[in-house]
Amino acid sequence: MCDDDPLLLPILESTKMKILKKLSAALAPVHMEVENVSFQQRQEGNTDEMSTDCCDTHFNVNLVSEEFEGRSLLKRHRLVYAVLADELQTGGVHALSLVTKTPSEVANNNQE
Amino acid sequence: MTPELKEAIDKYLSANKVVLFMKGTKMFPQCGFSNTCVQVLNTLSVPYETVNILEDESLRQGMKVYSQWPTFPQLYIDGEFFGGCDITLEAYNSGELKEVLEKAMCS
Repeated sequence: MCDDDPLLLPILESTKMKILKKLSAALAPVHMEVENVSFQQRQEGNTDEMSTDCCDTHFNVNLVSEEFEGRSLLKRHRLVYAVLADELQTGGVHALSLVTKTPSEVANNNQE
Repeated sequence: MTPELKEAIDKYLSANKVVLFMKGTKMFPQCGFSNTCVQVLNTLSVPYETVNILEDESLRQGMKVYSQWPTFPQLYIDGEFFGGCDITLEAYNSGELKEVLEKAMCS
């Protein structure tokens, strides 16, 4: 398999990579974690027929970004959903567990 | 989203103070996130209705447009979209959910 082959690049870029890239570009997070937890859903016997089609259905996303400053939790989640709209609509992603904090919130948590 | 569907949703939400659009039912949730919301609402002992979006594909897609929210579960309180599982759980832990529900029950 040749890494330079442009035809292979779309196949090689996983959903996780796409999520990381898009969130990075849109929200310039100071901290970001994206975890594919799709396997957990299958193990728990999720009977939703669509989730058995592919392995990139459920992700945990942990973000710390200035962009969240002054926004309610709902607005923060809407912002992330907007960035990942393609993945959610046609990319097969069915669920995102989101943790969305600002740098100052994280600093306050650390002080407690 | 047909106008009829939107009207039906509007009507249902104005008739019921707390509505959870979920996968499965209150008695038999079919997804971990939906189950979490059910357990939270049960713990708060608030009367609520659930709608199983797995039973109706047009409603499932319609609610994503109506709420401008791509996933389920979706919690509505007093006709307003409150959030999904993460938000509901965080609001429960912070006490905010209890406050919002109490306010809704009184109105």
